[in-house]
Amino acid sequence: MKLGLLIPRYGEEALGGIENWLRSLCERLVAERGWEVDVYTTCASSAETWADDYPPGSTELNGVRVHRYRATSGRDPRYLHMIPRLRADPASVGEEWADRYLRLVGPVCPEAVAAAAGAPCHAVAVAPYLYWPAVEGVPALGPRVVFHPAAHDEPELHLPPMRRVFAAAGGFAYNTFAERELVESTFPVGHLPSEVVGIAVKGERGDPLHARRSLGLDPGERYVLCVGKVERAKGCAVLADMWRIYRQRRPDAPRLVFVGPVHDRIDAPDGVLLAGRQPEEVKWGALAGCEAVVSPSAQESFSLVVLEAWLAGRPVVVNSRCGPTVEHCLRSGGGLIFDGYGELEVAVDVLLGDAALARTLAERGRSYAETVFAWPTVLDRYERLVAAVARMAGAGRR
Amino acid sequence: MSDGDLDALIGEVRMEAARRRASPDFPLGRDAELSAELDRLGPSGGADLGVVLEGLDRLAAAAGEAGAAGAAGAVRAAGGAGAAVGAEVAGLTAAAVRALSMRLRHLERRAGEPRGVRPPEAAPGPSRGEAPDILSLWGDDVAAAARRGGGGRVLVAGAGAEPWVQMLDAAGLEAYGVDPTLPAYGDRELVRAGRLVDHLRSVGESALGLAVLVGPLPMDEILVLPEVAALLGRAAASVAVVSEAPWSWRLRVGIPAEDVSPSRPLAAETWLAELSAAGFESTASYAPRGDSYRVAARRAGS
Repeated sequence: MKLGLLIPRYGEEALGGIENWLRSLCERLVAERGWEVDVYTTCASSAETWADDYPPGSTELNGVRVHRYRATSGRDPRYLHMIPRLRADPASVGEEWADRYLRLVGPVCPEAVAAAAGAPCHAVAVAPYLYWPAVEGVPALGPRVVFHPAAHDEPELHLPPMRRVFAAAGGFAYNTFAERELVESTFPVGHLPSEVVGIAVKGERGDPLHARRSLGLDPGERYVLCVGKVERAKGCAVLADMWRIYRQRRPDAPRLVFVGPVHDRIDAPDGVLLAGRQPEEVKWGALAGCEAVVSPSAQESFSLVVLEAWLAGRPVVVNSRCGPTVEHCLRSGGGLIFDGYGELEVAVDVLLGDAALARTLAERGRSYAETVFAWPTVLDRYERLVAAVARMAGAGRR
Repeated sequence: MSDGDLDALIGEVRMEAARRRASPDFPLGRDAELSAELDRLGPSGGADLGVVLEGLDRLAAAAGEAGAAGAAGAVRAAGGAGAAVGAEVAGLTAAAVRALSMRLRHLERRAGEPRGVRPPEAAPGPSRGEAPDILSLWGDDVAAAARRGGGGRVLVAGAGAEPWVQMLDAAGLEAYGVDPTLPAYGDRELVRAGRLVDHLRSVGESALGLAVLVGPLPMDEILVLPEVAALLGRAAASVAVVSEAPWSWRLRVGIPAEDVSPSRPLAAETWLAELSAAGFESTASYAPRGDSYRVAARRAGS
């Protein structure tokens, strides 16, 4: 099978969730399934600027051929002025306004799209839906597209051009059932081949003592963990406020530790520690040593962190408004769910006070992560999807 | 706390949270504020409800100022910016409706079963005698209809869709299924869990070459049968219904089971009427024993 991949950035330095995942997937498809994979991308490694960090041209990375093209424009900060209107009512902004917004967000790279369109591949994976290469690339490539939208319910999904973009794809690789439900309730694409492929996960060993030292915690100190970008939009500020209340009502409660880059300044009350970005081994050590992991975000398209917590043997508590994390909890039977402070307080009390129950929940989660998202299972699902898309595109059937 | 079923545990957490909220020392106000903030950050149908409400506040304040400036001021405001304000109000209202609908869906989901809708039973109670093997009886017929069906995929819907999909797949046809009896998240390789009516709402116009309906229909879909037929008319070039005849099913399951059954086969005549109303030209054929039938429908004029 020959697969193309059209993506705004690609490489070991491109650290986004979907980019990391698709790079691992391509490398596994080459190494374990004997596929040929060609990537069509820009020279950027950072989504904040889309600046050219790599030279243009073709190289090979872990068996995957990578073709880089210079973008004609990167991220233009004027898009920030358009955000209030985008947030107020994205569906009514009009095609022209949306086109201008998407061009300003970038990266605009017609050469990468043209190269992918002309590539002799059975199918071309395109991701994510949010950026110009997908908006231009999916309609240009049409039925050969295996679309990885990585969608969640954010304003951009409701921009007028998205209907045309999603309807042009040949099939969909979803991260979760919740993502499939969101996309299919927004666009008429239910008849197209799709798989809830998910993202393959693998646990790492971590040293809790080393992690405690790195995070500035006492050797025997209990703590609850939140991993990921520290942003208001991810619910981190609300969680910090909830923890303030929890500590007021439970003076001996453990500290809440945020591990991840701090993108928004949030008020960290006593009992809340912002540890910032940490190396992977510290993250895994912190996961292994914590009492529980809280995921306050309502806007996730998969949430690796929830699965990583289970692989580290720790239970999770998730926001009831987040389809994918709730789905992980319900499918596995391994996590608790909070609507507001009341449920969070009870869930944390339960997990801190009943070690056996916490272990049972974490074990169920681990079993789910290791079976549903093991590499061979994920590769089988993906292979099936790509074969269906390639077959239908080859037969001229949609 | 329960150490078993997660549904029970989630229920216990909610009950305990409700009990604590009723206690006088619970920070009810802060809880409400923080929940509202989480709602604001949650799914909203694309529109940020906070921004929408700010916009409506701003317009209301502007209208108030115009009113305070007297009738002349109000007339000037209406004349100068009436169309723009009207468009903005309409836009904000539409966005608010979308955002509130999304909230409502979320609340409904939270209030419902944690694991989603319970699947209806495929067939009721203990039965007398064997059901007719409709796959053997009508499989070739349906495969032939699928080959004539044009370019789109073949959708097989109903309890027990899987063997039909496998048969069509083995015949080289692009087929997939939707089965309401599969548990939530319980998709099979070519068959997804779900109701036909929900799935049809997400299917593109004229996207299906053929829609095949097999097995008994769940009661909640019978109640919206005209909508099912209309959605089929929008999505599919042709439709095949293959089913046990109601008299055979009734005889087999017995009256008590029939009365309480959450799903049942419909008469061929019912399908003929509904599909005709939805713009199809349809015919029905019965098996020699009369215990099963096939309805074949093509969109009129196609």
